[in-house]
Amino acid sequence: MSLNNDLPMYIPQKNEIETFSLAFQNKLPLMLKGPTGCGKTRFVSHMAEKLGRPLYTVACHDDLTAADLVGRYLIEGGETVWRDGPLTRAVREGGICYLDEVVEARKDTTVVIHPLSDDRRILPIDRTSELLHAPDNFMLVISYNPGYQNLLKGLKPSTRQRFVSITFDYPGSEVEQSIIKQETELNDYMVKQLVDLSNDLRRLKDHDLEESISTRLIVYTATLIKAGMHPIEACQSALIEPLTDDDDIVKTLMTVVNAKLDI
Amino acid sequence: MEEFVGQIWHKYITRAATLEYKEASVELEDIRKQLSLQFRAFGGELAIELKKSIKSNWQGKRTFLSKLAGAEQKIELASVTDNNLYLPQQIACFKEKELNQQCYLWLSALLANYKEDKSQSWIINNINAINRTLKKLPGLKKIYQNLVKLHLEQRVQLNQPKHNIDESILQSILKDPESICDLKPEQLNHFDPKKVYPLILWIDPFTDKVTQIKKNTTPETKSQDKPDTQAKKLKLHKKGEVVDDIDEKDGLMAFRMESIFSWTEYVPVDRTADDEEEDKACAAAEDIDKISVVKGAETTAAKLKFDLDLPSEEQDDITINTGIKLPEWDYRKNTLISDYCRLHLMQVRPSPHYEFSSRLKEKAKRIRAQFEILSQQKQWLKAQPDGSEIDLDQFIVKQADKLNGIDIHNNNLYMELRQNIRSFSCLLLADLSLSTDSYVNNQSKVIDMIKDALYLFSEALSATQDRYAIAGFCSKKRDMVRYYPIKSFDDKQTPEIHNKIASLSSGYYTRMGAAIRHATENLDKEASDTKLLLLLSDGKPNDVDLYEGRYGIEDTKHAVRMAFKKGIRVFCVTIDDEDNNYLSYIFGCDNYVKIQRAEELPEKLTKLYTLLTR
Repeated sequence: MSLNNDLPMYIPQKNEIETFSLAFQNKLPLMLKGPTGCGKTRFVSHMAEKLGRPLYTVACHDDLTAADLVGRYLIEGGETVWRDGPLTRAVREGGICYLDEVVEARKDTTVVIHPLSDDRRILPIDRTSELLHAPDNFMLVISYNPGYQNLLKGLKPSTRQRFVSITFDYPGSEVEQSIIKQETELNDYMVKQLVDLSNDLRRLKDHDLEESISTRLIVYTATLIKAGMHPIEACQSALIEPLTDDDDIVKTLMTVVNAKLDI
Repeated sequence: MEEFVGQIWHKYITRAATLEYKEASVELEDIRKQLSLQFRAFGGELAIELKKSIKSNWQGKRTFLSKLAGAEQKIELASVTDNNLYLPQQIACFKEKELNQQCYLWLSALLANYKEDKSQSWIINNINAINRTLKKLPGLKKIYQNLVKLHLEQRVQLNQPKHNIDESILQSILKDPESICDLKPEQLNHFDPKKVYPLILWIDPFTDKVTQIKKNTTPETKSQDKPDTQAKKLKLHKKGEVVDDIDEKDGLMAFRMESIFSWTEYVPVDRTADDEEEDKACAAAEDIDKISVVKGAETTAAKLKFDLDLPSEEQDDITINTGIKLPEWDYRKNTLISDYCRLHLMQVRPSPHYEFSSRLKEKAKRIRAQFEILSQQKQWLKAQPDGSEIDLDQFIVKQADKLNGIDIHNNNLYMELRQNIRSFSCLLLADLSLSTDSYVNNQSKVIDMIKDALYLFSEALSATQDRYAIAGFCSKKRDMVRYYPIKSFDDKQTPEIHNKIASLSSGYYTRMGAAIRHATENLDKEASDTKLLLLLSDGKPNDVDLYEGRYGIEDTKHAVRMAFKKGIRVFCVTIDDEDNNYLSYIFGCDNYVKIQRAEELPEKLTKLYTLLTR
């Protein structure tokens, strides 16, 4: 499909490519919302490649502090050396900084995110007393996964309202099928069956399951089948087992898989 | 001797007459969880609840042997309504356990894809559903075909020499579903399911009657429910039937004398007035399998109609306001009807008699002490000008700065252990409906357990920094939703709060959606970072009007979702022991907990609170 071999494959669901490009051109920060494994990260790397900007991805965790993003002094052999963090590097080079699952990070990261994500576009580095002005081709992208389980540490409205935002969901059946086909080259009929099965099981989210089947899991399953695994076994290992730890639910869902698949 | 021979004969002939493989039987209760999950995964409605089929006598054809045995052919078939999914209590039609299990699997798939078209015949509806199912679930093809094959063998065995057109039509369709095209429309229209043997693999052809009757009789019996009768839940499901009043002029005895011993006959139980013999009526109801409710029968008691629910004005609680208008969600129209409910703020009339037991007071003291310790949990505050420990991170930074020749006057090099102050609000909302009036053991009722729980909860939280409020609710139709604000967020914990809790009593029904909406409004005014609505209930949403079953569930789900949108987490603690499929539908699978024994509620609730807010 793509002429450029390096361009990560991405099939748009709606107007997200235009929105991203316009946000980039107009120096606006962007927020991606959506469930896990629906293609947020792939989308960002696709866009970074397309716009020809370096990409700095940070997977946020609950011990991630502002210093991890901005940089710190290290002591090396009696000398101190300043090391830029990923955010600072992206600002200096004019790249895209992608903070994945930003709500997981410590609250003090907002101190550096806020001045960069409004019209000031500045990054003050206290330690080196520098004040970096972000160049036009710098862009800040954050992602988060809204859901019940995040309620106790949701994104603050004051942060949320600084970002242009795109909501992602699992793609429609047709689009999802072509994604799986391009990723794995599995035959059409099997791909259709996998996607139909997943869409049926997605209805069970919040009811019997905490999470629903991601596009990523379907890709894994299809990859295993393509590599020669029996479809039922592939579904068990890559589609059903990752969803739940409850043995009874796994067993029951496997009867559903057996009923759904025409092999 | 005669009796002895008779018994042996009865045993022999009934076994021969019923096609059952007892040793291979599969019970619904054992696989209930799997089946309802399968049903949803196969595409069935999410809010539907799985229930046992109503045991009924097959209204159609019986085998010669079964007639000879005099055994009524009791058969349970599968069916689905707007609110419920009915599956047989057990299946034992096939020789092997696995086959019977497959039969359940097949039925759950078929029902998930069954869409009844009233203008079409039973056969057409079933064939369409089967085609739809097999198209969607090709993996079931083999299973279904195998079951049909085995079932056909049984039917052929049962068939009598007499030619039965309907039976042969059905058999040919079973053999080859395509053959339906060869049939003339009048053949199909004249097809009468009563003339064929029961077909376990298809939908029950006689479902209409049952649901219809339910609609006719529920409102009347509900409104006259007395507390005592409610406490006694009959675990068996009976087929309801409305029969005409007996015409006493007709003197013809239309049955053989010997069948008088059978219970399955019309017993004029007056369900609304027969109170002194209630126990007997219950026992009888368990024995018979058809309860007939006489419509329009004029007994003397029926003439005296009054609502037992309403207390007199001087005994009733005090209404504080004229009513707050609240919306309600109608899932059928998919709209939120504004100003549909009226919620009244109520004040309990203090009753001086109730005292919390000394054991509970002792427990309250202990839990309070625990909570005090918890709330004093401390946290390391970094980069402090003074403290008990050195902050190494800060120290390294300072050293680095120094080496760099930068001297920022940073002397915040210490860590200090301080009390953790969080910003948290919790509203505890308790269900006070009449169902809480039932007994959990010889001494206490559910409502007593709820009161104890509220008492312990308020005591425990008063030892913390968290902001909390307590309220109760019940309802009687949409214009009388009663909401009891027991403690507001700003009230101090005082003996008066204890009195209020002690004076609570149960009454009316559970219009959960309206109560949640009002509680949401209260919580929304709170400035805390985290807000929790803790709902304490003993059953599903219901009220005397249409607010029951799916309607109530969907409305409550809507209210919960709206609360969530406002950043309020709703968590439900329930002491309902029945199938709780609806709970995860309303609240989401992580947001409820079931408490098996109501006696455990008071302690569990406070424990749960610490877990949730850790």
